[in-house]
Amino acid sequence: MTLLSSVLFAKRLVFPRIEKQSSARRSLLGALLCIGISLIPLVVVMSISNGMIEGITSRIIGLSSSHLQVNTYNSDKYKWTEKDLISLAEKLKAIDGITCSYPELNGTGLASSAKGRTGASIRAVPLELFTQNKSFASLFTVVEGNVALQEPSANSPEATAVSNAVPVAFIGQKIASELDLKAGSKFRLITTRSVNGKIVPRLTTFTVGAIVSCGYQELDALWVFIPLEKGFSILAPEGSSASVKLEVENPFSQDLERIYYAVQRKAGKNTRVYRWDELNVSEYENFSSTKVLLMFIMFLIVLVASVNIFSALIMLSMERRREIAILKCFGATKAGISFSFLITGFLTGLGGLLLGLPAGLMFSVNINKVVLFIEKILNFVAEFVYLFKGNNLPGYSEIHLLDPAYYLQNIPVAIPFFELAVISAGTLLLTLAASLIPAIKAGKEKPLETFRKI
Amino acid sequence: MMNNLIEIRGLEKTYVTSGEQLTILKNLDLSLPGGVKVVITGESGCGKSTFLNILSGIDSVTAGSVKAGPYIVSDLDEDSLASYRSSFLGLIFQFHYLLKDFTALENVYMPAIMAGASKKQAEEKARELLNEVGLANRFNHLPSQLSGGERQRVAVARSLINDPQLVLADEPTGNLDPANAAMIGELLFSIVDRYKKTLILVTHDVRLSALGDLHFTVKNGTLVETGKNL
Repeated sequence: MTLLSSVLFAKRLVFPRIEKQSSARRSLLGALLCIGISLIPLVVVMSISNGMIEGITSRIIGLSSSHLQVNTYNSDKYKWTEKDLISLAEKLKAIDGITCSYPELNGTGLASSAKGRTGASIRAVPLELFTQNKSFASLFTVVEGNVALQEPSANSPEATAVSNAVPVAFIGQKIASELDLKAGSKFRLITTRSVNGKIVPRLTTFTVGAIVSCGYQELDALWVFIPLEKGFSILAPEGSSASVKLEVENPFSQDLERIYYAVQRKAGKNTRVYRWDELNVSEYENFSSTKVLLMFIMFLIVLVASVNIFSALIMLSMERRREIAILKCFGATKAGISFSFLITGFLTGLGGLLLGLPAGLMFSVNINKVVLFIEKILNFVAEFVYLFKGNNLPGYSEIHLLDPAYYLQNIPVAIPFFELAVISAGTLLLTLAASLIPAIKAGKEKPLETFRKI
Repeated sequence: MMNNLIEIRGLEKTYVTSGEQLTILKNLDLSLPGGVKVVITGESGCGKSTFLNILSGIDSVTAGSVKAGPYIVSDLDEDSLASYRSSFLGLIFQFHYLLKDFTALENVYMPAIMAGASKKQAEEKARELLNEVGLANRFNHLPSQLSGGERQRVAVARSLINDPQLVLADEPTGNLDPANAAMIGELLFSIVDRYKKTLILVTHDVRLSALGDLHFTVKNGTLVETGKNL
């Protein structure tokens, strides 16, 4: 039996000219829909998890660890000063492949306003970074105020704030909301210093120059950016870490390794160089394993859906026993008949894939609108129930499916093309595997037994 | 002996049902040269169809050997049987057994495509055969759109598509009215004659018996020659 004859027979199994509403045909259609529907959550979950991981990774790499980090440490003979750090940053900038280099002093403190206090991760950096550094400029959104310190417009309130003697700080959106701060408001940072073996607190007042957000509440809840020179004056050397952060064109390229060694050679004594993947190894491994686990769990749904193909093809082979017997009387082989049923199963899986993949992608791309729509419907119903119970509407608190105070402001979506290709290939392989036993069974039909029964 | 197309020696067929043995065919020997038209008659249940089923490889033998052309049918595995049916045999049944989702043309050319012909070649040959059985205007009709006689004519055309040496017909007119039965019978004999095929026909139709070269009847499980028109 030739391939062409198997294809012709499979064509009539999938697209019969008569008895289009047979039970087996309905089962095949059901299997196709099941696969399609099971693929939708898989694609959505993969796109969202990919978006989250990409978002978090790009922010951690771009805004926190940077691509390469040169950590400095003090020794008895050598103490790092602000001038040394700036000069090291300048020196490293000259290395081929480095696109940006800036010094940073990190420490912790307590941010305090009239409303309350909260812990803060103090990052002392040249504040020009917010306009001059590609990552800072693109990944931070200025919620309020102005980050352009160099040339503020003459009469703006931000300009007034910046020009005051009180140093300027840029703070994360969540910390600002916790402390009820606006652009131009004043707040205090409480840091500590050791004087003659005693811990002494130090209070420094700052003006909020801008409220910024990187989109991730966890990071926005901690960061307070202050000028580098101010950092050196308020953060104790023993409780802070000074480093030079370096950016390259592509942190995922092999070139990073070369630049890493060049930096190591040039950084000199009392320094240690780290790549971004060394600094964030735990997060990165956690993201990867979460992604694989999610994909596996969601793929189980597709596996269950594929079982429908098995039962649909068993039904189809029973329904088409007569045709199988006739074909065998005219020279059809076991393998040829089995192949026709495999093609049928494959086409059912492919149909499900062609249905589920675009639907899943459409759902993913519009997930924020969908969540908003569901929220609106839920709130409409909940408000109605609330009023029906005799309550007044002003007392009603809205339902939020995605609480921005918890983690995200928006659901990030990044289409994982490689994973989608793996999912597609996996789905087709699964459908082939599910079709195998019914196909073999169909190939084993005996014409004589069939003719006696029909 | 060497030139015989069919050589059957000591054929026996026994069915075991509910512990009981029922021997349908026994000690059956037959030698047939190529190109003859054989008619087999006999009472219902005497084993005529079983004999054809064994010869076509649809049923197996209990004992003995069946040789058709180069094939020792009784020894063939399933894949070799497929090749035997595809290249050596043409089958016509009492019921037409056409594929319900395939048009008349497709029904005729499917065995040719299964045998390895290109679609173009197969279609060309199928058109030619359908023309010959008088169905030139029915190429694209489904079996459900054809009359009983027309369906059986499609079945006759299909049996010849792979240019088989042997055509086996099991009561091909059994389901037809007398007029159609006579027409199909004559058509079958004339077309087999024209293409110089060997025909073994099982029938109850007395008029068809007269058209054969050799007449046999199945008696006590074996074939008994009852007449010759050679």
